[in-house]
Amino acid sequence: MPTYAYILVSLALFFVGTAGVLLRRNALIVLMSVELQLAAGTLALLAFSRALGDQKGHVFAFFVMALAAAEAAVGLAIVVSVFRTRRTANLDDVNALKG
Amino acid sequence: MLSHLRTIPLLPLLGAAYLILVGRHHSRRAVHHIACMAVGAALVVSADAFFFGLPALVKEGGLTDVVGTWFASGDLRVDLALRMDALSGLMCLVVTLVGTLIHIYSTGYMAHDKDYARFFAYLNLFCGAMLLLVLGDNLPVMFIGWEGVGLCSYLLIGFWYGETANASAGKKAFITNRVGDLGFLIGMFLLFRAAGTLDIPALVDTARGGGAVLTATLWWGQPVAFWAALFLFFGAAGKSAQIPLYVWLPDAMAGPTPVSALIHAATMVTAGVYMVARLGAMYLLAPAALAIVAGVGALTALFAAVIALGQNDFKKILAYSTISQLGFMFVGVGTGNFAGGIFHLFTHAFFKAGLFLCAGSVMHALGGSGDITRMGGLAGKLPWTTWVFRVCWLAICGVPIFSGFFSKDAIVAGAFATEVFGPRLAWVSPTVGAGLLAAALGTAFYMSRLYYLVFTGECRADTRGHLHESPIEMVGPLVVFGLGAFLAGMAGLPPAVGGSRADLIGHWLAPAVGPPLEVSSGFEWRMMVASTVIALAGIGLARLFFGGGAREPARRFVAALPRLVAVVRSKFFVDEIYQWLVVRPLRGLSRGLFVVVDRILIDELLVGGWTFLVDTIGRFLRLVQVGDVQRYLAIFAMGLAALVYVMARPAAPSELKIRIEGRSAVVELGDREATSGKLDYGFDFDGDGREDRSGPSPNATWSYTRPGRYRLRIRVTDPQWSTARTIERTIDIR
Repeated sequence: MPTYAYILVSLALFFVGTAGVLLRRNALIVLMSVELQLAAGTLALLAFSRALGDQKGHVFAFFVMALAAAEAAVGLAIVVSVFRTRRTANLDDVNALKG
Repeated sequence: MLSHLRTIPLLPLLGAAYLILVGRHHSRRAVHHIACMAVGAALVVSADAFFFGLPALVKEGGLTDVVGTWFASGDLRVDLALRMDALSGLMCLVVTLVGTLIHIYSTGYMAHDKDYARFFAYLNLFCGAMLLLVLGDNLPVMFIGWEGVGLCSYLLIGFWYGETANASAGKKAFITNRVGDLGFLIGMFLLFRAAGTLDIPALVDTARGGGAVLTATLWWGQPVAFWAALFLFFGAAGKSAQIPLYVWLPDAMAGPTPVSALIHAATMVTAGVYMVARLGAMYLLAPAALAIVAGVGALTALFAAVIALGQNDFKKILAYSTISQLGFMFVGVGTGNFAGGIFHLFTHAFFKAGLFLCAGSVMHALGGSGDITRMGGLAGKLPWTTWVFRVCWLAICGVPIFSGFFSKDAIVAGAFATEVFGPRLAWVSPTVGAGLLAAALGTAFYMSRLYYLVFTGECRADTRGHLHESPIEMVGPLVVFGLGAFLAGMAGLPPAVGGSRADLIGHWLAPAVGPPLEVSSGFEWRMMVASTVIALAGIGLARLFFGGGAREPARRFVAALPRLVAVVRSKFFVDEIYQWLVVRPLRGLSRGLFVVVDRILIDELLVGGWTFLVDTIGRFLRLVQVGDVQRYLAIFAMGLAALVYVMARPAAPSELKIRIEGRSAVVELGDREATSGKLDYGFDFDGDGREDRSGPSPNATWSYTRPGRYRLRIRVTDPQWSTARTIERTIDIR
């Protein structure tokens, strides 16, 4: 398959993720959408890596996976903690830092 | 040790530092041992240098000790340098000797004071600063000492700061001195600008050599030397309590009596006289300045003597007496009779310190009061004090064989005999001489009045049961000062009395201040007779008025001229006049500045304005802070998109220049982007859709074969981002 096909998939994934992050109100869904964005990035990295015959892209893919795991752990912890104190995971209700 | 002059001021300074830091943890004994040793050691070192090191070198300018370069900037280089020549050596000896004696006296006088260590720390600091002033080889070092003694004066006048009057007296002294210091500074600047140096020996050498730089006209037809001398004398008038800046000295008596003796009689207040004598050669270049010095001195001598007639406080009388005697000294140096002025400084240090210490002893015995109308008949109760007072009294009155007689006579005779003023100002000389004779009569009268009211007649004090002579540590220094007051005159016998070599001080000082003034023998004798008659007349008149307490003639005099007496008693209202002319306008100005500059400009506009601005901006910016993380993310995403667009936007030339040269078109594309060298350009000059030139160069030239209107198309491609842009222009070729 040509490289642009992978890139198109990656783009689609990224936009779906971005839309999820910006539009959904449930914190858990937002976190999952962030994972989609990261997956899109990983896919683009791998596609270019293969197209250019350069291994650096593969290495970065691993970095992204480690980062995604860490982000999920911290993000979920925050969501749980917010839910415990506020009894909600709806981001519209979490606005205590309003100026 | 001989060349290490630095130890002389350093010893008392170290003593002061130690006592200030840890003195209060020590016992009284330890404190005064440290303090007295520090000054005593300085006395030993100075005496050693003066008697054994200096005589061999006195012709070559004395001993010097350069500690190091203090600062250097452009043409100005100031060393931290000390010099002991004939003049500064003598002064150094006087300061350390009087300082040591008064330290010892203070151990008795201040024995019951709670701030014992602080007192001695300040005294030591004073001695250190005074020695720096005396030994300083250039004007800035001298100025450090000058300010240092002013600071100590302030600290010691306000030593008993618990009472507001004492604290205000300290402030008055300090501020008045600061006014004078301004003159000192300006004088220094003028000298530096004219002569390019601040070293005293260099300045003196310049002046002695005629000093074209100093005689050049500066302002109003007067030479540099005149203005520098005048401004420096203004500084001297502040420090040495001369008209118009004398008002602080009487108030300075608020300090402990040993302080009055050391600082406000024997040493610090003579600094002005000393400074004028050191720069004497420069003053000689400006007879008009000398005339001002002598005139102010004579006027002060007379004025202060008159005020002293009407005072009833023991120490106030002595304070006005000091002002008056300083006036004598200024007449001495102001008539070019530098040795005479310094000689009087020397004898005055003894008899005035003695008088003040007697005052301290009397007030100590009476429990602190200084009102002479409530004293009397103390002669039998305080035998040592009385005898020392008698000697010092006769000395200051100018009774023959006592020290003051010779020194005062040297000044008065010099004032009449001097020729420094030149033909145009010749009238100054007899005028100041006559003024001094009148002042001498006043001096004899008020000092005798003081003596008769305090020591003779009935005792009018309430504490007659407790009267006691002071302890040995107070009486000892008293006796030494008494001996000094009696004998110090032997150091400067006039040639008419002791032969040509008798004027020890005059000959000793000659290398530093020039040869002593020549006075003919016959005139000298006539002067001495006249002074003796004046002194005895003053004493006799005072005896008639006050012998054994205020008598009938005194009462009748007061009844006959009540207005005059009231004016003299209130010191001619000088303080009140200054209050109206200077203090109140200044206070009003300060209040106005405070309201306009501080309250309105700084507080309201600058401080309040900024906070108002920040507050207002904040009120609007807080609306952006909605607290919704997704809205932040949306803004973040838009920002990121904008950033990506900017970074990755199609490459474009930042500038496009097209020049027509005859039949040729020259295209130059400016390219200041980071992508320089990575772009690909294509140029279609004739609009036929085919690129005539292409490649990485942003410049191209094309020659047309025919004139006409052409369409020019330029393509810019960025191969890395696969972006391209086309620019079109129409050109006319003629």
